[in-house]
Amino acid sequence: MADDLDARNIVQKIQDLMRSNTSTARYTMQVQTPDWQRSIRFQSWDERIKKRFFIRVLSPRKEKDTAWLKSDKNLWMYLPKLERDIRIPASMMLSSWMGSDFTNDDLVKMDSVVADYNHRILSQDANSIRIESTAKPDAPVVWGKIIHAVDHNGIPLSDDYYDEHGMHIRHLAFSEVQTMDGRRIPTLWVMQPLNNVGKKTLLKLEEATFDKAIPEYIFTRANLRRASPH
Amino acid sequence: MIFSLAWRNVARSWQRSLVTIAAVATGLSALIFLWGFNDGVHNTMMRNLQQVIVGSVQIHHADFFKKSSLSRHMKLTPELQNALSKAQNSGQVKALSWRLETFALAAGNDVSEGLLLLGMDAKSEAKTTRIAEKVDQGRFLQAGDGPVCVLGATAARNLGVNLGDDVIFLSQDRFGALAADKFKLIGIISSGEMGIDRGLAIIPLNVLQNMLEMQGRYTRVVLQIAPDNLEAVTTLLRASLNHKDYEVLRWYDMYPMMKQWVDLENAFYYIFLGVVLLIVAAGIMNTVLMSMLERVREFGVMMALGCSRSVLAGMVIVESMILGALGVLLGLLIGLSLVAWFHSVGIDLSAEMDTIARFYIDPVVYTEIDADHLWQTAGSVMAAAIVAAFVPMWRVAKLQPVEAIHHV
Repeated sequence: MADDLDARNIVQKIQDLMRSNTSTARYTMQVQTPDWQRSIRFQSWDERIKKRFFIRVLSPRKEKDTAWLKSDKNLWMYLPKLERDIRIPASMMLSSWMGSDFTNDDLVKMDSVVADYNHRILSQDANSIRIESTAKPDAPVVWGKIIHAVDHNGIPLSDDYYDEHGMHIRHLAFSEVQTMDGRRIPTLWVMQPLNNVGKKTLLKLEEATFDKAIPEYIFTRANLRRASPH
Repeated sequence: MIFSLAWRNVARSWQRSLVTIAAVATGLSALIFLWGFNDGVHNTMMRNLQQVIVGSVQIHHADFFKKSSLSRHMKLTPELQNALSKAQNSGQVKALSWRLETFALAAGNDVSEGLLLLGMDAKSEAKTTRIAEKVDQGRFLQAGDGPVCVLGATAARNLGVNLGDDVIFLSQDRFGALAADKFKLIGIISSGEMGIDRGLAIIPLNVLQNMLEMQGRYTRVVLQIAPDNLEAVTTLLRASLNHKDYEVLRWYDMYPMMKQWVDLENAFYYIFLGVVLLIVAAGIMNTVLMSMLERVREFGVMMALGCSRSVLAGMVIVESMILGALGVLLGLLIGLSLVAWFHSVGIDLSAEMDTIARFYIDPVVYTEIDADHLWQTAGSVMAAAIVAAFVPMWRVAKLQPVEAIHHV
């Protein structure tokens, strides 16, 4: 299928908007299920150009200082209680991240959304543009198709994820557009798995900075062991 | 009168009769022995599957088997307690154990792998299953163990850990929070079954319950039941547990492959049985037909003296039945003796067996035969002996007295 340049540019712009070249951010993630609810605050350091990031949990106490490092295509996790870091193997990529509806793969493959898919504009109306991104043959991705909805200012509205059989698996909605570090971006992301309607994950962006240089030591395994100052 | 005539005919040419009886007996005893081998292998396979880890019947929270998750757990509710007491009071349950399981990431020396983390109670598991026997390095869990684990041999190798090393298991507790702990490797299982050797870690039940915030909660009840009582106990449990909350699954509901395999192999045996029956029947027909042809003149005289065709035909059939019955008796005697002999000494096939099969099939096969297979086989041979007499009987019934008397 031909790659539509306009569509590709829009997807690229979403990435530029949400992640820039580098970004640091603080989030609160709330996981809601019929049986329990939990809330996790974490800080992230994201260096998109070098495809690496670092996440450290700030609360709750039980999980404080648990950290993730993605670097050189490896994903490491640090367990403060046991003072050990563990490499997350490829077979665990589809496992849930911290009990949420996001997966380890969502952390690792964030940057392949543009490159590993063919994009085309599906429909357009007064409020939004819908873009269909179909996985390139042999691309190492888990989704068969993603449908992005974006408004005419380039602010994302939602992502719908389909597996390779065309089955609609999950819906990610973006809302509450606010100004953060000088740019208008959605600050609430809601991930809804469609095979488990009682469950969902809310990701609230509390604070973000963009395009500030991130010190090299952040993306090292030694940094995993460093406790957070909070 | 027909019987005494027939008996005399059988006894008169005893050498020929003996050959027929021997042919029937050989055919039957061979079949019995083959069934004995077949049933021995099959029953051992099915027993091993049940006794090593799966159990005969398992009780889970409804839909747990297809979609396992910690939220589909069970507590010892009055309903469950009542159902289990009923089953145990029936005297048909040998033993039962409680288990808890979840998926976990295991980390050894710089390597990590996803596997099934299984909490077992050492004391009740020892009565219920033989998993402890499959530990070939170190030891299995014991009552009072703390954070220790038993790993499958392949899993241990993949993680690069040896006895005494620490293994980290990382999972999520009941509330989705991170649950991670360090466990000392005390035993390595080498079962021959890939699923166990490569994808399983066993830790004490109470340790896993605490780790996952699952105190007093379980995912499986495993019951060990003799094959003859399996269906009765299943029915009883299903009747006393609400199927909206619980599922009661027999081993072959969970792992249908093996039962299907056994059924398929038995089907081959029935075809084989049919072929042997044809040979046995041909042998009997030959003898009876020969003895009939020899006596055509004799039959003519009997008819001339007023003996009806139906009496003669009956006589031929009864002769065949006598030969068949004697052959079957002798065949049962020899066949069962063979099965009994190899049931005690066994047939050593260890040289021919690779390690993959080791889990299900023991290297030494001890013959045994299921009652229904035995009676089906003996009955079919007997029936073949009778059917074989139809051709000679039909020829006798067509004889004309005058021609028959002149027959040379």
